[in-house]
Amino acid sequence: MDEQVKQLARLARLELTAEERARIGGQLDDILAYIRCLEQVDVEAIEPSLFVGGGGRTRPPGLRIEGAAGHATDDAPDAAGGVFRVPRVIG
Amino acid sequence: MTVEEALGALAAGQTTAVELTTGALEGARANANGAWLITDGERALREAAAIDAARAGGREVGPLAGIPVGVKDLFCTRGLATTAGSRILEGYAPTYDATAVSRLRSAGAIVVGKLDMDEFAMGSSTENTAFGPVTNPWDSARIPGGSSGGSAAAVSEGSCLAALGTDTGGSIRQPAAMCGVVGLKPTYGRVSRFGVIAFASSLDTPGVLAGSVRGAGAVFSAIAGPDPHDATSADAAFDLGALASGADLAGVRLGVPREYFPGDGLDPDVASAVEAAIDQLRGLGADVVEVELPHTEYAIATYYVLATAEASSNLARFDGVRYGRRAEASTLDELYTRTRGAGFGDEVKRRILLGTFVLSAGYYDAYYGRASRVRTLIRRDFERAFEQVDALVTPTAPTTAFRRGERVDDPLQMYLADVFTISANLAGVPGLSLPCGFDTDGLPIGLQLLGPHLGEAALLRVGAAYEDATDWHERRPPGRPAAIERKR
Repeated sequence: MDEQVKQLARLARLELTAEERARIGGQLDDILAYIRCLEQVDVEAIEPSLFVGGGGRTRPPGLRIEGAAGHATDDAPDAAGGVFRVPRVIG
Repeated sequence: MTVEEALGALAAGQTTAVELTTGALEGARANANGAWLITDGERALREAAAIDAARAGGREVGPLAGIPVGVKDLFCTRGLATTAGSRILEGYAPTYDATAVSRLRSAGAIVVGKLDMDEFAMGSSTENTAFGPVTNPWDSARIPGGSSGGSAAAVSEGSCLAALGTDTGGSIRQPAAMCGVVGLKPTYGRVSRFGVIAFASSLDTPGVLAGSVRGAGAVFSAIAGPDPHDATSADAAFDLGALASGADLAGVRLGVPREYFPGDGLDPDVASAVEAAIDQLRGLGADVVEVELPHTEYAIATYYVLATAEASSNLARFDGVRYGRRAEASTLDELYTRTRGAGFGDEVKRRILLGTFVLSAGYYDAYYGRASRVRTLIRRDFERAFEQVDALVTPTAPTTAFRRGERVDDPLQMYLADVFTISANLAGVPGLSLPCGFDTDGLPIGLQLLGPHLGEAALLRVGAAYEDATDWHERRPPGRPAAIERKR
């Protein structure tokens, strides 16, 4: 399981300590064993439900969030001149 | 004091918005149960004074004018810190209000402050918070339920008259039951999700906690309705109108799903209180029949596949770039992994990993694909039941509030606390939890009513009739007079 948890953590961009990997790995085993009860259900020819509500309208053109324009970077940990700043990506 | 009593007292000039808000702020600042994360006292008092002046001047005021409310910290509030109970959002102050919050403000409600919760609404005890814990007003050694535990505790202790919560798998109804208040989880889409930090987008449902059914209905009326900012919001406004007092339930058909009364796993005190409530509903004139929801036993497993899959995608946005905390790093990839590793708590990490697993190549069909199909079967169970009855009656939770710390190391046991609430989210149907008794330790028990899509009015009618015939909702936690009532 440890290698699998490492791989999942890499995919999810999540740094985990070895202790976290061991603990969470064990818990995931238990949860997945429980989830396997779904294998008992006959789902042949059953359509999936991805949404269960109505809605589904499209957003009207030109819709704006009142007061938010120009403030996208206000809460960023590091921003300058209206853009987000991150560590250098390209050498 | 309930919302409708406060509205009556305000209209009659027996109290003022400033007086109610001052009482609420006193309670919030005393923070006896740790429910409050932050208060917005200056603005709250300014708005309360404006409402009192408008009323005194004979000007029209909103339907909730002067009612102090609290807001779960999952709702964005403009200029007011919003953390979702997570370290990763520490220091975040949104640039806009969630639609539910702006509608509350437009209706004249006074937002007193923000309420603690399980991190990103993932939990059933409000122990998974970076800023907790929150205690149950009925017994401080117990959890308040979750994830809207701060909302439930605040209404129960009386530091606000109503609160906004969200319900993805029971997070309004279960804490409402455990704190002895009313909780309304609307139909999926009935209240806009715009500005509510996303956990599982096909399940997340904003709603209300209040001290009475009519109070919950009044707040729900103010926040419900279509929203151009949320493409999944239902095209259905809601006007509760007046709920007659002392109404009977003649002609109302109620179903009791036998799967919700298992031989084991249901606390005997809960079972007997709910059975007594069903007898009382029958006494009020309702026809009560047994119904079947045969796929109930698969609901928790289905939920923990679908909700974690959606969460793993939704929470990708917390990367240390746009808001909140950032960890020191020399590369962009390190910035993401370190920020997320340091910023998220255990339960959030567990769910992100589980969601990543069920969506990963080779496992998608076996887990996500299969669970989406089981969801269809659960939805059909409800559709069939609602061909026979107007509403279903069940316990809200299998037990009363458990002790703090009891389940933190056993996530699967924690998930089982939601066994009776999760199916409604998978089917998208509305649910109402209301007090129906106490166990031998004096802890509150919740009765759950479930209705068909857009069936909130029927739930509120049945709930109000039950409330009129009982006094469970009038009981207050021992030794803690409500701040708002002390002011009268």
